[in-house]
Amino acid sequence: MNTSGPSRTRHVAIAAAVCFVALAVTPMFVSQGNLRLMIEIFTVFAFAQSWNFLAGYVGLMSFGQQLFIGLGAYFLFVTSNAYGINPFWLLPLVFVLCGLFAAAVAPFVFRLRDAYFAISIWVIAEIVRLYISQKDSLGSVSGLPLMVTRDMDRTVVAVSNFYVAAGLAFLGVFGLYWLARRRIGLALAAVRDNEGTAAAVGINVWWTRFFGFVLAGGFAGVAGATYYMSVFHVEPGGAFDPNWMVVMLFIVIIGGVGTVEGPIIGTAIYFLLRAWLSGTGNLYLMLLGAAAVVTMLVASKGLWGIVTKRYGFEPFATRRPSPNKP
Amino acid sequence: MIWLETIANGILLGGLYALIGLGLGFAFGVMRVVNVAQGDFIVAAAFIGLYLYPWTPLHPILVIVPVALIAFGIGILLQRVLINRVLGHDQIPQILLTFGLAIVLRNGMVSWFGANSQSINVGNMRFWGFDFLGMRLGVLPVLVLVIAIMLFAALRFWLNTSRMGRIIRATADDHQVVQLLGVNYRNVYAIAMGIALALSAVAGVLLAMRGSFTPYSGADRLLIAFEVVVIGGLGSFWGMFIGGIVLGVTQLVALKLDPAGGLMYGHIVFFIILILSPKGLSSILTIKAFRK
Repeated sequence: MNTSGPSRTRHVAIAAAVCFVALAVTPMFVSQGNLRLMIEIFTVFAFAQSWNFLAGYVGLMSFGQQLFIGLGAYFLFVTSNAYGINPFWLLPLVFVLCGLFAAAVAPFVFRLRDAYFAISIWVIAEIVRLYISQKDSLGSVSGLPLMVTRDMDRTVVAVSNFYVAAGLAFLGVFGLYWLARRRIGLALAAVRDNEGTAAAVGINVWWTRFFGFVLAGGFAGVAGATYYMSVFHVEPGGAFDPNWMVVMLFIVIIGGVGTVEGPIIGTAIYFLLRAWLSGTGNLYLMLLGAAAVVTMLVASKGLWGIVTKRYGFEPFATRRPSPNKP
Repeated sequence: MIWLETIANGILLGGLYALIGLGLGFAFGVMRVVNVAQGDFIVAAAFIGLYLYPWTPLHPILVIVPVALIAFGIGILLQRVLINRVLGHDQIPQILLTFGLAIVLRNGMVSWFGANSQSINVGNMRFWGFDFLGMRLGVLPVLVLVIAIMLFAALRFWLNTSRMGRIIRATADDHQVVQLLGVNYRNVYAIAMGIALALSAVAGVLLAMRGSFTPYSGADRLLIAFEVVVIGGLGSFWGMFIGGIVLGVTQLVALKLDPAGGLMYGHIVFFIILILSPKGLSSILTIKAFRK
């Protein structure tokens, strides 16, 4: 905390390099089963981080982030199956398509604020889910398999999938940090904290929000496509399941909304809880909900908020030292 | 003729939808609190009704009275114990709190009552019908609409004429200033939340009498409530009523055209209204409907 700006960014850069190398060599040492679990952890972390970015950095709370998870998966499956393209090459296209979808609905949903905004995106997710459930060409309720990867070498698919998921998690940490320190990150924070003041210092509030919403949508879309690519099958009930929202919320809230580190802790707790309580079904979901309630009452900044407050330990701090202080 | 009958039935259903939205809209109008758990409270009320109606004297439909009273109490508790603690300029904590509550409620109901579809049995009344202008209408749906209209009117009347209603409207206008006049706005909020949940509980029980419900119905109910409030924001207090009727008619007409569509067309109509209305929707951000 006392370290000055440049040296702190140097530490983060070193950490980024170490993580990069560690992730790059992981598939050589890990069994395929564990690789699959890691893909799941990384993609779920990416989902959570997309929501964290939206809620904690852009100041837009959405209850419909599962919309982009499902859209990303369906864009990928449909295009890959129709043209027989290797799905890995389609991920940039998924980003663009999900971003475009977000851009298309933004002008309308931006008219609503707070909870109404949050629920309007959920409504859109429901419309898309119900539409896909009825369309036979999209597999209706039973969903679609991913054809192309069937004929490919299993190990190659798993390892490539791992690299994509790891890349998303890497971006979720270091990309978010990098973005938060840019001019646009500063603008986002200003808009989140006080719209009026942000506008007064010359920030275009609407476009800043728009940028954040589109980026979060595109990112969640790619993460959703990666997740469903690793299970080779997608169906509307699962891809647009509001329980995705429950998971994202739990991870971000428990960890600490608006921090880079919080969702890392949140994801770890989530997967540990899931391993311990597997088979208890509803009890486990109830616990996730109760944890969110308690966090809101006791420590609205989450676990990471407690750590920062008590120990002043904030490796990914994006706040700059005040120029007035000595 | 069949279409006229469908539309008439849509209007009857719409009155009930409006009632679902009223609780949410009222809570938001007074406190700017959006209770995301509203849908699951509606389902919980239906379960309470399911267990109470065999003991209800005179007629099963009167079960709405004890359920509303219980919901009123729960609402006061909810506001005092939980929501009042996270109130503030920032809306996010209370929205997340109620979202967490919704998850707990929904999954709690699944584990206690099972995921089966249930319905409150009102006896033969379900099959009674009468002919009106050549249409065959059910007695129960008409009765439900009448109850909805009465509750709307009663709430409006009570807000406009009673002392408590005046205090609630004043608190909705400015909860800081009313404190200067000796009003504890937290108590007013608790009462308002009690009323909001009582209204939703009545809607939940009536919905369970007209159709069926499962512990998972809460999400759909919340979306309906939300759509009613947003469409209703176009006008006034009664705008919500129109919102409910728009959704009710849409749903039944769509059901005739495309039986598998479910709530999709209702959602689409809502979204079209959202696109078309130039700036009317921003009026839900004001509490105009609850000022006089």
